[in-house]
Amino acid sequence: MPVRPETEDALLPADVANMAAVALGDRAAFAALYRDLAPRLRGFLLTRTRGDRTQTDELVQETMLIVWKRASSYDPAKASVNTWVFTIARNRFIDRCRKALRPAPDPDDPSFVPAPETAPDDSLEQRRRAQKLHSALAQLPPDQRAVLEESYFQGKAQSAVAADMGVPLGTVKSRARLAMNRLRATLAEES
Amino acid sequence: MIDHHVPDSMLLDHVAGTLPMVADVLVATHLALCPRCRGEVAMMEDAAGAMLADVEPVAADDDALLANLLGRLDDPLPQDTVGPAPFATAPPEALLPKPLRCVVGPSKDLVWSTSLPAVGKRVPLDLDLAGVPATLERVFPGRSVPSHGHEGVELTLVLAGGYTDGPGHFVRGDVQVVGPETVHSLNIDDDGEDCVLLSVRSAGRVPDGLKARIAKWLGAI
Ligand SMILES: [Zn+2]
Repeated sequence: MPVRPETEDALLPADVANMAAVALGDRAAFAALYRDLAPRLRGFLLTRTRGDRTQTDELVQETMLIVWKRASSYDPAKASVNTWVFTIARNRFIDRCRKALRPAPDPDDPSFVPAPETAPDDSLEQRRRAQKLHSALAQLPPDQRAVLEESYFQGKAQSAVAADMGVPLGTVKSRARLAMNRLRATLAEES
Repeated sequence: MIDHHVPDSMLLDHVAGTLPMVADVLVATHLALCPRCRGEVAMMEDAAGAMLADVEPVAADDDALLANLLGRLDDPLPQDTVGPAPFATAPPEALLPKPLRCVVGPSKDLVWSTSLPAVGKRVPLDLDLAGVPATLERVFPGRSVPSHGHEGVELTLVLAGGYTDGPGHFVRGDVQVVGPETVHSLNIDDDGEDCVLLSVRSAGRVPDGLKARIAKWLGAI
C-alpha cells in the first residue's frame, strides 16, 4: 500500500505522498506512482517519438527509473509531480537524441546568479498555483492552447507549428505570448 | 542588471526542447545568469506538467513492464544512450557559466584567432549536429564591430564587458536578437575590458555590401 504520512495535511495529493515514500525506498509507493504516471507518459512520449513504440517504452522505463533514483531531490514546494516528471521525460528524450546530457544551469556554480530575496517556497502555495494553472489552461482560447500542445507534446518548434497551422510565424508567437500573459495574470490574481 | 531577455517564444521552444543545441546552450547560459527568465521557464514547465495530467493514457502490458522495472531498480541508467557533456568536469570559473563551459571547455584553454586585426579575436564553435554556426567573439574595448547584415536571425549573449547597438546597451547576461535584413554595428564600451560574446546564427552572416573590407571579419561561414 502506498504510504500516506500522517503528519502531512489531509489534502496532500496521493502522488506527492507517494513521492515522499519513494524517496525513503518504498517500492509499493513506487508501483502506485508507476501505474498512475506510466500510461500518461506513454501518451506524451508516443506523440514525441512520432509513434515509435520501442523507443517510447524504453523512455518510459528510463524516466521512471530516474524518478526512483532521484526521488529524494523532488521538492513539492517547487513543482508538482507532473511537472517534475515532464522535465525528466523531456530531458531524457533530448539527451537520447543528442547522445549527451543537456547542459543546464547549476545553482551551485559560482557563476549562477541567484534570485533576489523571495518568499520561502511553500508546498501548499505550490499546489494552489498548480490548480490555478490547470484551470487557466482549460479556459485558454483553443488556438492558444493548441500552440502549447504542439510545442510541448508534438515537440514542434514555433516555426513548424506555424507551418502546420498555416498561419504566419508572428501569429504563433503572439498566440504563445498571449497564452503566457493569461497564465501569468491568473497566477497573480488573489485567490 | 539584465535588461535584454530571451523572447517568450524562444523560452517556450527551450521548455519544449525543440531548439537546435547551440541555441539551447545559449538560452541555458542566459538562464544561469537571469532569475527572471528562470521564473518564466518554471511557469512554462508548470503549464506543461498541468497538461501532462490531461494527456490521454495509453495502455500497455504494465504488469510486465512494472515487474521488469522493479527487478532493476538498483541498476545504473543505461550509459549507451546518453553520456556526459564533453567538459562536464571543467572547474568553475568567472567567465563561462556551467551550461556553456561544459560544452566548450574552460575559457583558459580556448584557442583564439584574429578575426579582424586590432578589433577582435574569435573561436569558432562546432557544437551542433545540425550545423548551426556559433562563435565566441572577443572584441577590444573602444572598438566597433563594423556594420553588417544577416540572412537569418543572430542571437548574441554577452559574457563580459559591454557594447552599445543603437539605443540598446548590453552587458553580461543580456541577449540581443537581431532579425534578418537588419544592418547594425556594435560599439564596444571603452572601459578597458574586452567584450566577450557568444554569437549564434540561424543562417550565414553577410557583409554590408559597401564594406567589402570587413568581409574578412565576417569569415567564410
Ligand atoms: Zn532573462
